[in-house]
Amino acid sequence: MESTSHIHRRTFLNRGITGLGLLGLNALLDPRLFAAGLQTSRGVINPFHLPAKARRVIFLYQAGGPSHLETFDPKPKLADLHGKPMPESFTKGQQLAQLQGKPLICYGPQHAFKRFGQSGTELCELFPHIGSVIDEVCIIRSMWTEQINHDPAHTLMNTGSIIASRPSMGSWVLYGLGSEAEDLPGFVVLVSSGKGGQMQPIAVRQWSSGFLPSRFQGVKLNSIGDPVLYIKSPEGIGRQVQSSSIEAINQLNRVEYDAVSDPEILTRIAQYEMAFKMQTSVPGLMDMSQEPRSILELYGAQPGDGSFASNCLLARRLAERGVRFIQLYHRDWDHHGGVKNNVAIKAQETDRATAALISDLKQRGILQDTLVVWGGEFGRTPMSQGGDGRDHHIKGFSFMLAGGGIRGGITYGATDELGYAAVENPVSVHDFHATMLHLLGIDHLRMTVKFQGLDARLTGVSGEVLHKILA
Amino acid sequence: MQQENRIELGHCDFETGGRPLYAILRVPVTRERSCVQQSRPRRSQLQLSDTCFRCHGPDKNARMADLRLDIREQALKQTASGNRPIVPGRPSNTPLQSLVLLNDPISVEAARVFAQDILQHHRDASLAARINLAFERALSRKLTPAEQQILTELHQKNLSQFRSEPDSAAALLQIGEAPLSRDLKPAELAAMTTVTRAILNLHETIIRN
Repeated sequence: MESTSHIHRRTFLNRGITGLGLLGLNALLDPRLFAAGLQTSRGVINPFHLPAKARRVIFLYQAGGPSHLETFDPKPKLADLHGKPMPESFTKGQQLAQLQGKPLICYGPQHAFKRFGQSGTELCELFPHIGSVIDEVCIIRSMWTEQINHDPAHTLMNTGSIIASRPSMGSWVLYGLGSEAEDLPGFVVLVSSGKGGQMQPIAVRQWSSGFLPSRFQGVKLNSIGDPVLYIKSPEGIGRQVQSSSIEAINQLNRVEYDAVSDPEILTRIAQYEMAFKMQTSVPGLMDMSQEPRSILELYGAQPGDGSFASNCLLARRLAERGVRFIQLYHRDWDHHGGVKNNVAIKAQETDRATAALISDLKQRGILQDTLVVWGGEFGRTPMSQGGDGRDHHIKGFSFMLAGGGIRGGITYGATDELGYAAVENPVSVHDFHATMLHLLGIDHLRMTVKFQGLDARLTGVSGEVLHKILA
Repeated sequence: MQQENRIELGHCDFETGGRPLYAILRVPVTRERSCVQQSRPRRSQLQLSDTCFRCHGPDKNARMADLRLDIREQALKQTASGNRPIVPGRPSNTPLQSLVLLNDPISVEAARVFAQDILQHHRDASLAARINLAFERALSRKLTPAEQQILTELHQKNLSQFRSEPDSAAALLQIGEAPLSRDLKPAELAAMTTVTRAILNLHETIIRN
């Protein structure tokens, strides 16, 4: 078979577009952009649409659907109605998950709430450490979503769409801004599980780049054991042989690219270069021996244990190394039963480490340009399931944000008196995405990619920036 | 609730993007060579073997639901319930995959056996002819002069490296369980192994179209 030298029309056009990327260089030289105080990025958003407040995101994704009623949303009225039928005015005609068609009984908050900080924000008393940094934090109490089952709800939260194959938010951000990390992937994913023992899968497509080039996909590092498999060269292959081999592989791939112009080959070349750099950078990233004891204690981390706490510490180290989007998944929040004890377990696993991350970023001076997000794919019903649990719930739940341009010490929005539906300033997933992009200097309406005949964007056809939570 | 009970690709998530290495290298995994019985760690398959093969592997007595996941065809086939046990994802293109294909012992072993085969069966062939043979076997086409030059240079560079470091050559050749032919010069076999390893890592080799 002859190797083909034919270039398709479409490929040729694509190449032309790559060439157009050079125009971005002009933007660097345009004095008007300096005058406007807008920085240039390493991605396609050049210059920034808006002054960027945050340079990176750490998303502490609590998978399974944390109960807002035992975390961030106090509901004394629900306690009063504990054991009584849920008023039908709330639930009539509503979509429920496993409680569909079952008697609906109010289930009061299982843990007390307390006021914290100068702001006096009320939090569940299981979260005293977050309470200690509450004045850095904005709690959104009026999140809502469209999807009542885990996987589609994750997909919506990550990609802004329930249709698999859309780019995840981390990929969009990396596509828009590029990476500041030379020797680590720009979008890194870490997964931890808790003592709850639930092992709900998080599909790898949650950090897929969808229709964006695959070099923007998230790269998952293992939390237990070797963070990256086969990070060491084989026995007998020294640095020189490894380096010359990768150079040869990339030269050969370049020959193929010149013949067929498949952009996936460019990704392949970039990934082999990154693999070689990671052989050096990952051992350094994972070497916790430089972390003083006080820091390990602050987080409650025992390096290598694969815990959420260890991942939070790792997230800080990734942030320091210029990784653009760091997403931690902590699983086991799906408390259909035993919500009281189970939330207490989750609080132990997440409270201290979350607060430690915020205060550690602050003492290093990088909280101000790091957006920290804490939240899951949906909330849980104010009605009981099986007498001691809560079902999936999409009409109202809570999110916590800190750092990077967020106004600290405030709450935003509210659910009704029973914590059922977001009634004051409801915040959709698209609103959240629009706000996140805004903080990063990106106008969500203007970061679009042609896909299936549409100018596709992370926020679909909606999304309002939450100006009131901005500093 | 079906969502929660379904076996997801993420459940048996390995860093070759859901494709077992044997599928990528397109070599059949026989009963004798399935990972459960392998004594040395081969983790890209071991991840599956740890979680799945105990009940869905080669052991007939331990097998549940008459399902084998160690054979690609069966793992991808629709079961009686209508579900597919494993749904392959998009072909992976991450640095993690690069590291597996470069450094996983099973990849290195495959390259070594490949090189061994070329050297043993073409004892009188020139270096250029051997490189061409290896390339053609992997990619079903002859290499271009430019490609020939890249691989020849790689071979020359590594040959002198391994000649000056015989211990490195010996260490490389010990990787894997396939018998090592003792009648080949270690430095030459090691250098040819780096050539076949490069060929097995090419985009054109990994991706079908």
